Amino acid sequence: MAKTNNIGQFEQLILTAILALREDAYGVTIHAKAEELADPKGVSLGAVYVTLDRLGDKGLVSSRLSDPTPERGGRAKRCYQLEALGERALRESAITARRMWQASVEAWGGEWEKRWRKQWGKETA
Amino acid sequence: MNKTPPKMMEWIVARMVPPARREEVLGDLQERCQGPAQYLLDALRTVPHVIASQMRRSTDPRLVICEALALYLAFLTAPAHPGARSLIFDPAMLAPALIPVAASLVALRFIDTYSLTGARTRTVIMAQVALAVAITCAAEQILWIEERAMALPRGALLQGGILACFLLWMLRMAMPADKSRLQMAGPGHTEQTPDEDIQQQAKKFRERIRDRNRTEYAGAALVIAYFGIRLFETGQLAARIGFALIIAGSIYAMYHLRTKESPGAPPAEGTYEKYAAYHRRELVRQRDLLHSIWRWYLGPFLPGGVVLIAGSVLSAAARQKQRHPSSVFVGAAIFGLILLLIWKGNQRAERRLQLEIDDLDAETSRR
Repeated sequence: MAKTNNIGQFEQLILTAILALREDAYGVTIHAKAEELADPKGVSLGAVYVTLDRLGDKGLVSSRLSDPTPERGGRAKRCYQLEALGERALRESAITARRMWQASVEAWGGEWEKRWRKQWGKETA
Repeated sequence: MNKTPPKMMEWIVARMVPPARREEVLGDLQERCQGPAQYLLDALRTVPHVIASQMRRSTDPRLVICEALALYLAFLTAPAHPGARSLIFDPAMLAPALIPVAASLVALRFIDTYSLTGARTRTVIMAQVALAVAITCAAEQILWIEERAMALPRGALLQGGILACFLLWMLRMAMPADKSRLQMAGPGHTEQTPDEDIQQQAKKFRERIRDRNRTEYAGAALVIAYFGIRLFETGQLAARIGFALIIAGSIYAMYHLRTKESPGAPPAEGTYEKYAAYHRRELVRQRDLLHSIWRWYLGPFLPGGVVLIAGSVLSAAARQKQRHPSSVFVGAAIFGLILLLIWKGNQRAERRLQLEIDDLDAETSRR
């Protein structure tokens, strides 16, 4: 079996943000999406840059400079996209998270599961 | 709607962000700008992370370890003043010698973080290491005023600094930075026709060779000046002969470089085939030059080095109480290490040139 990258929780968050944003994934939008996903925890823009660099070094994401735009003072955006390795790492993380969820439900019972599903329902509404 | 940050504030922030990340980070900060206070706060929270990340990306742990060893060796093998023993034999100096090592390493990390991510030529690398050593010397001068016991003697700092420059320069030539980590992909480059492409390749290669030759001349001038001063300073016959032979070796190497290895003139105009033939000729000439480096570049330094080492061994044997004989072996080891590093670096460059020749041949046969 091919070796996969171990990724941390914050890296999963950033990869998910890039996946969700598709073509529009650059510093500002990734940060906004990561804050939305991490709510109620805050996310700093600096931490997003550091993680994007690390993901790039691991080959999980790639980037390119877009054309300059006036609202950015004529500066270009660095747009990110998931690489095949990044998609695979994210899929594996999602599977692990699902297993953890199932194990928690088995341990804490159906009531706990219902309460959390209700809580998430409120958040997504 | 976002606001524009004050020009002065933006200028200061721009200077703090490493050049490799400046474009997108400044653009992102401007896009998020809601006013001067928010912009400043955002920049203060973001820029340290960007600097730290770029520093991590531009740091090769193997190079840092080698640099630390080279710096410690350079400062410890220097004598406090001409004729004195090296600092390595003074236990009280072992800890103070770590201070310039740490200062140089920190300076180098910042220089790497803020250096432009384009091609690092020999001249650029020499300027970078010279800047780091100059910063170290300035820090040591402050230490000399504040806490003299912890500062290196000025003679040792000067001589150690010169040796450190050469060792660092050679290390960085032998272990070039991984550009793919320093520089992320930019916007797609414009397509060129094969004729323009080969012209540009030939032009760049010619500039690279001229730049290398200029650096070699400057290096040789430094060597000649340094050993020229030592020639008049020393009273020992063997040392005088050794210094004179090293100067003669430098002059011979530079004469060879000037007369045999300067790049030829490119064709004024012509087809792909003409430029390709010119470029190939130059590549082959430089590859052969690197292949024969012992004959014209390293070899001429050997007689001087051998005479100096032999003279030092005899002198150490005669004055065993004044001078520790192992300092001679440390000096010989450094001389050998320098030659080895130059040879290995040139072997690597020779292999790269051969790859370029193979690529060019493959491209020419496809046409």
